Amino acid sequence: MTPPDNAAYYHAAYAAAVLIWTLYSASIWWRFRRLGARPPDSVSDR
Amino acid sequence: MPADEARSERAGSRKRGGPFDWVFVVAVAAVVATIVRAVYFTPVEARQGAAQKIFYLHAPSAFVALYVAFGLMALASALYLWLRDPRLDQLASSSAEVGLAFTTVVLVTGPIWGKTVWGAWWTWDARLTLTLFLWLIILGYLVLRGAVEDRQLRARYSAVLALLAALLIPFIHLSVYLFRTLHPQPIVLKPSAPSLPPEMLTTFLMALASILLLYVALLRARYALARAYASADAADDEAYA
Repeated sequence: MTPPDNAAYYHAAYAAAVLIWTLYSASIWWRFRRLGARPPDSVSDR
Repeated sequence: MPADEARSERAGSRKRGGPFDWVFVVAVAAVVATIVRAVYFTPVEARQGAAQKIFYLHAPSAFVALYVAFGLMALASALYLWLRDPRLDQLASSSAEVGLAFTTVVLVTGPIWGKTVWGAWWTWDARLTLTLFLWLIILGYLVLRGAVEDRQLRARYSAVLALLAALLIPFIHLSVYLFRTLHPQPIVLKPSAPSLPPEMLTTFLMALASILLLYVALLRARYALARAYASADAADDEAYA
C-alpha cells in the first residue's frame, strides 16, 4: 500500500509549532527586557 | 527604596542573563533532536502517510498543556486560596500562560492533521470543541488578570476561575469515550499497552520528554518574569510610601 503524499501538511504543522514556541519565548524575553527600562510605578505583577 | 534604585535593580536583573537559563538551552536541543528523529528516522505510517508525524508534536503538546500545565495551575490556585501566598498565584498564572501557548500548538496542528485524515479543517465534535472552550477560558483568565488592579482581589478571582476551568480537563479526556467523535481514542495514554510500533513509540516518548522539558524551561522563565514584576512592584510601593 502506497502512503498518500501529504508531507506538506506535516511540514506546515511543524513550522507552525516551532513558530508559536519561538514567538512565546520571545515575548517572555521582551517583557523581561522591557521591565528594566520602564519607569517605576508602571509595572504590575500579572 | 528610591525610585531610581528600583529601576536600576530591575535593569540589573536583566543584565544577569534574562529569564532563560541552561534548562531552556537543553530543552531547545531536545526538541530539535526530536524533530530530526521524527522527520528522518521514524517510518511513515502506511494509511495516513507522512501527515501522521504531526502526532509527535500534537499529542505530547496536548498532554503537557492539559494535564501538566493546567493541572499545576489548578493545584497552585487551590493552594493559593488556602495559604494566600502570592508566589502560588504567580506560579498558577505562569503555568496558565505557558499552557495556553501549548494549547495553541494543539489547536493549530490538530486541524492541519484533521484536514488530511478527515478531509475537514475543523469539526464541532466534543474533544475539539471542549479544548477550544478551555483555550478561551484560559485566555479570559489572563485578560481578567490584566483588568483587576488590586493584587489580592486579582489573585482570588483568578484562582477561582482557574479551578472552574480545570473542571473541563476530565471531560476533555473522557470526551472520546462519552460521545461519538471523530477524534481518535488514546493510543498511548490508556489502561492497555500502547498501540504503536516500537520505532514510533520511541519517537513519541522522546517527543513527550522534550516537550515536557520545554514546558519546564518556559515555566521557569515565565515565573522569573512574574517574580521580577513582583519585586519591581514592591520596590515602587516602598518608593512611593
